[in-house]
Amino acid sequence: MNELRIGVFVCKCGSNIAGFIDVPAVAEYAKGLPGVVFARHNLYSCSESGTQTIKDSIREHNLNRVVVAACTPRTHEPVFRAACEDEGLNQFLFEFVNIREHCSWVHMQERELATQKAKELVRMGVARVALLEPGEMTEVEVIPSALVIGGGISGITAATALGSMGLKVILAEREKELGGMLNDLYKLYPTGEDAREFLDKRIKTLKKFKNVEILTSSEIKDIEGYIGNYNVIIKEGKKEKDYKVGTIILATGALTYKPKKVSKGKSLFNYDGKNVITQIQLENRLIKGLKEKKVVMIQCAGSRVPERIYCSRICCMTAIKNGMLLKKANKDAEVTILYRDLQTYGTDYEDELREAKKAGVKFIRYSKEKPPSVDKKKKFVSVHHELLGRNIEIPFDLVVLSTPLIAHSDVKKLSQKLKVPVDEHGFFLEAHVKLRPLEFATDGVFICGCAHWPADITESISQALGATSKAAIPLLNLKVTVEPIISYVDEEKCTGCGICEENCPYAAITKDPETKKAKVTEVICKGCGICASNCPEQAIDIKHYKDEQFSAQLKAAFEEVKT
Amino acid sequence: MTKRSKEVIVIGGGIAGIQASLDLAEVGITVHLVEKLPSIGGRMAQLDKTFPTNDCSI
Amino acid sequence: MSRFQYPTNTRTIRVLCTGQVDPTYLLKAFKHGADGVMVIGCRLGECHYITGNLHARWKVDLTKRMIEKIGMSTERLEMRFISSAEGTKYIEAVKEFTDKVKSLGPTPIKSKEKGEKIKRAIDSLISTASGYRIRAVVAKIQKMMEEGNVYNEKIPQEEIEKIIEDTVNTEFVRQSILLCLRENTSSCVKLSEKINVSPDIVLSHLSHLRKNNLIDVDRVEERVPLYKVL
Repeated sequence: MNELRIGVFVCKCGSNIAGFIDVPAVAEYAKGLPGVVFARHNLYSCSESGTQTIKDSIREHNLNRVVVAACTPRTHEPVFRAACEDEGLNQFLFEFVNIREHCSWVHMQERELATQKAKELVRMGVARVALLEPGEMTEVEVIPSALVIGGGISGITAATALGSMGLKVILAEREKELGGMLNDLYKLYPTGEDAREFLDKRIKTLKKFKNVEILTSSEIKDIEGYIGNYNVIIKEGKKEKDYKVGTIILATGALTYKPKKVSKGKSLFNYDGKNVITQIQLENRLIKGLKEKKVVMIQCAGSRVPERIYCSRICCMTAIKNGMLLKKANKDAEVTILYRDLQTYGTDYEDELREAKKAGVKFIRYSKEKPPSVDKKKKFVSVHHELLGRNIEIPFDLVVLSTPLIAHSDVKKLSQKLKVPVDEHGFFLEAHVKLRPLEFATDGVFICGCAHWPADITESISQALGATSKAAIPLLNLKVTVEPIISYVDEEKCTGCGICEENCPYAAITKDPETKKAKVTEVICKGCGICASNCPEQAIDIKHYKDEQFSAQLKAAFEEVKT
Repeated sequence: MTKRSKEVIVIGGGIAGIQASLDLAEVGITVHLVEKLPSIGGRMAQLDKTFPTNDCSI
Repeated sequence: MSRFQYPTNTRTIRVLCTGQVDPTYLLKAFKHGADGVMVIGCRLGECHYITGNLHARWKVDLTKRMIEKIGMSTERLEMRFISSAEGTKYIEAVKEFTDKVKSLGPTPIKSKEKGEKIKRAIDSLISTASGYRIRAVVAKIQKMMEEGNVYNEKIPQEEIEKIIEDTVNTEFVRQSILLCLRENTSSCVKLSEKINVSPDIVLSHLSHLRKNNLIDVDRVEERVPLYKVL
């Protein structure tokens, strides 16, 4: 190997780092570390002049390793990697040390100790960078077709959008009809459009595309492969068929929570499906015409409680819309909405709330500690009125519970087939809430609509379009590049015991039938390292996160400091 | 697909405009991102950290 | 502003997933002088790499058993499950852990009398954790817990824990013997004194090691066989 020539750049991040850490001292300290031939500090390393300085230094000092001590690799690693590549230095010979989120910001009152910690973190980074090896991005060919799972409004929108780009699409719906939850709705907010008409229009547009194959009463039996090359077995009716697709959009939607009917004891707010019903049951009755005049709605019924701590987002607007519809249909209708908090965000929704109040829909706030109770015999709802400071009784003909959207019960099965995670409530968990909201860590799989999190129709459609444009990128490019942070097997050491194959969550490692040794399918591997830490022969290592690289970092973390 | 001009103008260089431009550029479309201020980034560039993950906005 | 503060005496090492956390990494951290080691992964059931944190849990469990063998407090090692959106939980965990470790005092590695001895013991532990037997057992646990063994029998957790415990015990003694013999040829009684294990147990391990061609008798002095590493 050539002589090590490490360059260290310590970032002030304006005052974000320099305000709490003696940045020049850290840079000075770095100069004395083994292998370091150049070190300096920058005001903003990520700025144009900052990256230019790094590039100039690589050239002038003939650097073959670069360490930047600054903020988080999550957002800024690509910037510095690109700077290295610009100067012909392989991007994997770069190491990012985080002295902001893990140092300056969390040790604001302890300048000296924070500076000391920054120095040590840099020392660990330098120890690691010395052992890094160059890597190349792998290019994979992509089959230009997509699978959309779920034929609700999200799935329909995604399939239509992909279809309009001329791509081959398979839309798999498990029910007999497309449309999902929309089939049960009456009129939509905020436009007041008829749900049936709205849905029919969408389905008609979708069916115009000959390149979209619609499968109903279908079930995903198996999914194998990786971005660009998924092999999916779908059962439609009784026959099973193989499909090859490049990317997958998940649009499986959600269910509305239906309280359990209890014969003895109490169900949630005395729910019985007759006089105490859910919003979606109300929508169904509204389609047929509703006779009841006195309607009491109870918000957050089964949500924002310990079992289901989340807010279902759509219920406030649903209740306001249905309250208005009741009032419009019958002027004498008495509608009372009991709520804990109301969320009517955006430009239209707050107007709707005002309109509803004007039309005479009553809003009464209740607290979590004193929830309303439904007396079915006397036909009134009793609630503690926060402003009056006492209980009031509201007579009813019908009680409507605004129950939350919940995940399908069999969501785990699909999540295992797709190798994507779900959260504690069974909603699919995106790769990053802001940076990658419609993607998963598994490349080539995307998420939209209620499968992700309770969303209304507008949001589901926007998400579907977003997921579509993401899913279409590799399909239109016909290729993708994959980072080489993957496991690899030392065939000399491998005994073919098969433990890695058993435990790989991505099925990326298999025993080669000929050599009887473990073999990694590079594009599937995500570099999680489960195989490496499990290998009895220590025959597996992760590129860019190698055993010796960790060991060097660990050793450097505890070295005695001479400053 | 039929041959047509593969150029798009994105008006507004905030986070929405930037993300749209990036996605378009990734499929090989030439993008003209137009921002009225001297620098792109919009509101997001004025923020420090964003919730819930507390990632740096810049 | 959410810039919570936490103690400065922590150093972070980034892994892609706790699934890669190898018992040897944890032991090396102790060897180099860590007073405490904390492994932080995704919330259980929410691993971004599907099952990584489940595997890590067993590795941490194993390492705890190991350090206990050499008289280090198991409280010096801890695993927590925190999502990337739970900054406050992270801070709390780090604070709690540093407080706990502080109350335990500095690592025995730093002690003048015992330091060297414990360091050597950790070396034996690292060899143990690198050995086929212990690694295979721990790697199999996750699957065994989920699906049962090859005969489709579900194995209760206590049983699995016992298997780990037994394997750690035997492997640790064997590795300690090997490490001692690598330095000097030695007799059964001397080995027994050195590693603090009764002579009969040492003898049984010596015969096992000899059977597996790892050691052999070097010479016999005054009717006492001295062993050497092959």
